[in-house]
Amino acid sequence: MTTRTGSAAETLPPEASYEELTAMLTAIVERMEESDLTLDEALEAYERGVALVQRCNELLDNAELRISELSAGLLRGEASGSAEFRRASLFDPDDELEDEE
Amino acid sequence: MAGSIRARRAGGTFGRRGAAAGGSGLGPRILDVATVTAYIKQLFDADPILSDIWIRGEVSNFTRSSAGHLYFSLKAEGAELPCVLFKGSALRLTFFPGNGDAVLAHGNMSIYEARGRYQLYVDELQPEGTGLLQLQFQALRAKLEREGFFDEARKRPLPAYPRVIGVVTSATGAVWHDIQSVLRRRYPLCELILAPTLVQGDEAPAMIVRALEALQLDGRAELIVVARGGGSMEDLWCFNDEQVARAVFACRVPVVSAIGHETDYTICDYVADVRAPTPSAAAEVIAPHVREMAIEVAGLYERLEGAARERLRLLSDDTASWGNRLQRHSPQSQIRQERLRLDGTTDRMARLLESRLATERRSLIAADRQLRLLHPAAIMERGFAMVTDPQTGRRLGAAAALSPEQAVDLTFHDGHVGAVIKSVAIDRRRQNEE
Repeated sequence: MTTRTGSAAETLPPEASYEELTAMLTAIVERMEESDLTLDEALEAYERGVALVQRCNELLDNAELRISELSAGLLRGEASGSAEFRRASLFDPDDELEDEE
Repeated sequence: MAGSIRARRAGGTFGRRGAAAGGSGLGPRILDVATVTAYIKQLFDADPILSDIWIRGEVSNFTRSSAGHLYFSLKAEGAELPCVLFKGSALRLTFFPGNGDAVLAHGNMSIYEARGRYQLYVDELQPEGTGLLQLQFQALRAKLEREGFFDEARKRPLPAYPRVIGVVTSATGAVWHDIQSVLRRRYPLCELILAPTLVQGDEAPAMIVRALEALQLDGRAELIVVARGGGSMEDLWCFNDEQVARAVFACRVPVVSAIGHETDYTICDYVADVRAPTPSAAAEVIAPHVREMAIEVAGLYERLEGAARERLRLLSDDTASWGNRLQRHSPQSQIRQERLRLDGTTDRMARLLESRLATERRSLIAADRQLRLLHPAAIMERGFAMVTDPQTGRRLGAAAALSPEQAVDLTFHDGHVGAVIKSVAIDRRRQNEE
């Protein structure tokens, strides 16, 4: 069975996690196994399912462990918590104190 | 009081006699037994050391009252201290004392007013040799357990596929390195955020608490691992700290505790949602292996293929059965049937026609034969002649039509003859019949 997965893949949410992708895939498989689908519906579901399988495998193959460290400011208990503050961890912690003042 | 006694010696208005008599205001204070006893009791109860004290000694004179309370003395060289352990606390004892046992007893010193004696009201008893650290550990453990910190019901399940994992541990040392390498191999889909902290010493508890709070403030971590490598009880002591326990309990995301070796249990381990025996084991508990995930995906793909194939088969079966039904009712077959019928009809028609023709033909032949028989020429060939009037050509078919001397024509099969009638004789009988 040959299919075009281009359009089906485009409709997948780009930031979906493995968990979300497999949940969608499981839903499609169960729908195909249990419901009465027309030929069009079955083909569309299959295309989408294949796109999901490909995206899952991409995720698994291309995964790279990301490591980061909390900013010193956050560890000192300064309650900012914004992304801005996290980027501040690249600078000398003493600079942050000056900014606070 | 001392001052007033001096005054009495110096002044002498009342003298000794006055003092002995008691009197009001300026005499020596004389107290009754209850008051004095209450005063002594108050001294004991208010004293910070005596109201919360651990005492080491040897058990002696151990008895049990009928009400179920335990009475004994703690002995050491040159001193003896009466103790009572009430039934309620006795029921909670994990260790039952006997005479001669070296023990550590905890409680408060107070006065038993009715008997005028001081005694230790014991709430906890441990065999000697347990060590103070161990006692503190057990005391805190009991306390937190009573407060529900270890309840299984409040322990939260770990997310199946965490995307961000917080790690509270030392930035140096093997633990952080091991966690990274295990996860890189098993589950590289995630992000690790290190909240570095000291993991031993007096400053450690506060840092651990801050690390936990900072990770929650950052907000991305879906679960937090608190980890430390092996060490002595003193080394791991910071993870028995009450503030650390409360911080772990209050944590908004599940906490996995991986402290020391397999046999080391800290308060942190009890409070956490999951305890792992070692930091590497923790890395395995918190995440699946990508291998398993790939197998899961492959399984779903197989089901997808199977379901699609089955769905198509059902659809085409449907189509085939509809096709058959359509076929049976199609104009084509109707046309064929009509044609068959037509052929039959045509055949019958042809046969009918033929038999009619045959019948007519026979009639014709019979008629023809009759005609031929009746044809005058056939009669004439048998020898008869036709008599006709020579002028009119009219046939004269009876003798009555003739008279003598009449001229007639006679037609024979081979020619004509003219004749004259000689005589006529009518047969009367035949005349009458006509």
